[in-house]
Amino acid sequence: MLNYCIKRIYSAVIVVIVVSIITFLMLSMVSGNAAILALGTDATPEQLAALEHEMGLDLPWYLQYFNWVKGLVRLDFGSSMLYGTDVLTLIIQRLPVTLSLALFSMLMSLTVSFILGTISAVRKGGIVDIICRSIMQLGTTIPGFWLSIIFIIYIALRSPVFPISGFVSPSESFEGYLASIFLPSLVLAIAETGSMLRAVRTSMLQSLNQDYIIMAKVQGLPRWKIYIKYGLRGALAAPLNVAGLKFARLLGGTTIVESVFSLPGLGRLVLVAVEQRDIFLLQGTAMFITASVVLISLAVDIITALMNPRMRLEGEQS
Amino acid sequence: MKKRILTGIIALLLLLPLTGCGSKPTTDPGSSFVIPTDKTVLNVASMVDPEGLDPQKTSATSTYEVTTNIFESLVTYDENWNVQPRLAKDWTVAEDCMSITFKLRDDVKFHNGRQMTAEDVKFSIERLHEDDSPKKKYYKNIVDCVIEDDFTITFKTETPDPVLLTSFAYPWSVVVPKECVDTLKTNPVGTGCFKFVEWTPQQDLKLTANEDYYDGAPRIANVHFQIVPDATTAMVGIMDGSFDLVEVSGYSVDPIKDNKGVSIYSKGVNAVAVLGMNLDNEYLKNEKVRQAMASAIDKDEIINATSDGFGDKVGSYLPSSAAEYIDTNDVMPYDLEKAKTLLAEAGYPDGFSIGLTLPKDYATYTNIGQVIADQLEKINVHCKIEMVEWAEWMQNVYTDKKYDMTVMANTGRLSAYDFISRFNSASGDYISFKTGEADEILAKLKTELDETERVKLVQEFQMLIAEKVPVVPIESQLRLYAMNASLKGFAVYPTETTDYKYLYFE
Repeated sequence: MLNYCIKRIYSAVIVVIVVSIITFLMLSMVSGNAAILALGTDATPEQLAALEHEMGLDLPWYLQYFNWVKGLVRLDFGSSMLYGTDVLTLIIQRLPVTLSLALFSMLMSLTVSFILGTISAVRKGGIVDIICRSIMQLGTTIPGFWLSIIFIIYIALRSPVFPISGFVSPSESFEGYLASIFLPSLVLAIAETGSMLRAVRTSMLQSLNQDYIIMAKVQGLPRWKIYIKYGLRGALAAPLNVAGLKFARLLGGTTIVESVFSLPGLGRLVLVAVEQRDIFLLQGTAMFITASVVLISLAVDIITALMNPRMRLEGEQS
Repeated sequence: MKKRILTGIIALLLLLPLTGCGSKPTTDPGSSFVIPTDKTVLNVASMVDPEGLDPQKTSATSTYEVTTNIFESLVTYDENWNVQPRLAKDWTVAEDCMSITFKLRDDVKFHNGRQMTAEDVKFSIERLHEDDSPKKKYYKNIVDCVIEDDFTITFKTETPDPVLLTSFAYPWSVVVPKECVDTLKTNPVGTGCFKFVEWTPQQDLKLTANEDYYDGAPRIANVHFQIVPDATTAMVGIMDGSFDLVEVSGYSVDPIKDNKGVSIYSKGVNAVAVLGMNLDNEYLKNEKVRQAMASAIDKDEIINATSDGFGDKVGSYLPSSAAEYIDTNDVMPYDLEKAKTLLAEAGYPDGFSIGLTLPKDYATYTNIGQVIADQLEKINVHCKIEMVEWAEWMQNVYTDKKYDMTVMANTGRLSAYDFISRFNSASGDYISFKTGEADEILAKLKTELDETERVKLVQEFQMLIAEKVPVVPIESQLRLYAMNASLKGFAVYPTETTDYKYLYFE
């Protein structure tokens, strides 16, 4: 098990390094750079060349990358060319927003999916099952930006509880924090619930077809015990895996909801970094998100392994 | 099969409450709107963050909007284009227009408590000569600076400059304290009537009243900018009172204009949106082709389609609000038949295909571009539209000139010469008039000191652009603001900024 973890962490480090190189390479290949954007439409070509030189943008990309790595060794992530603020500070400022969004939406989505998913598998073809399949269709097809706007106009504008925009930090007011994060989390949860529900339902159906369930039924065990204790337990692995990966994806993928609800999260930071060719900022955020995704999928694998001894053995052999 | 149909029906039923909402009126005029009586906090919604808070080192309007209230220039232009004293109480321009002497106020303190002197003014204007100052080229002519005493300073130019005073009225020609320049980008220290408190990028920015301001503290005690990237969210916020001030586009005015709690301010932008053309292109270097295009473009349709009629069509490259403006719309009016004839005369009776590069971050310009593409189709000119990011536009179009046509507006200057000088064949600008036909007028304008003669030259220039069409001028847009109806004193200045100094709630 330990060996397995070390191997995974080792490969995680390599992934992060490769991603950081690719980020640098990609940004050096697209048109436009931070100096052009800073000078705007009044600069002369000579002035632009002078500023590019000053900012080190006239160097080949691998030298720029090397300079950046040199800073990184001293734990200096560089500062944003656009905002002038330290990259690490900017990322840390955004964490509460993005983590709360990811956490709350996963909690909502998991609760609904497990309850409805289990029922619809048990009563396959029943009314709950039909409603669930409608939710699956809707959840995955309703665009998030539209739902967000609908929520703002029909819920936030008409209720004094939910603010229409902005993030309230939990240290400022906990109720305010919950209110500011609730609607955007709900939008994300609705989008995630479709596929989550499907994972639970499929997994549960499979689990209910196992011999030991039939055996338990034959033995006359109470229904809830069959479904919850034996059925659901056997069906947990796949949905939890999906949930973990979804959570990781949410860390960098909530840009649209963040924009509509004016939340200062990681997604918008990445977006502005790309648009403004802010290489240090992009590098910092890309590395952070990659590292989180890798670590979360590692954590998910370990948890699944702990839950199922068979998988743990397989993991060690590979 | 039956089940699948049932699933579909239920999916539709679940959607119903949402679509049902759509049929209700989208606004609920002022039902829950309460006007606060002793309101002193101004909540402003901004679409984008400032690009750092050092106005001398950026070209972003979003920065100037904030920093105009923190920093001050020597003089300012009010909304009617009159010069007003600010940090300078008085000034004299030499008769030969080769120097200007400012008498400074002696009661001005920076936010860090230190008194402002002529030394700071010298330092600040010299700072505009640095390579990372986007406006460097406009200050090249100022070659010397003499400090007469602590509160008197003279700037000297290399060649006569009849509009020298305007150089000291821009949002970037502000006075900054030498000891703070390294951190101005994140922690601005100026002399203005608002002090910087804090800024969390992509979230908010706070200013507070400067109690020691030489002109008395402002009536607004705190300004809270909130970064709201989504226009719909900002509109909802202005309706429920979360925001007091927001810039809006023509179409979003419709649902709020009848709301009693909201008032609308509109002002002609000091800029001209144009169809920019690369005169090195084999088709576009032909004057007749350009005239054909100008005749085939229906500007009224563009203004109605893209900004709900909020805009003034123009026939030449000068904003309709400028003093020297003349109406040249009749020189090249919309005339499809004439356009077809001109195109045939140019040797392209069957039309041609041409690239149109549009900056996708600016919805107004991409919308204008799409309407133009549609209109040019009628004379068989096929536009191949390419949507690019702003950084790509700056590189390909502005810097490398690898483009055929584009739509853009360059924001205004306080003097017509600075505004039109990009048409000089040697300016290296993306829309410079490469054949040199504008050079003579521009050269005369640069040295002519007589005001009436200058106006005549600028008008001559407008006729030239209207006739020879190095760009197709489209419109001077209207800038629209929606605000809390109790907010008074709002005005937009020719520099495209607003002074919160004069704002108050009634």
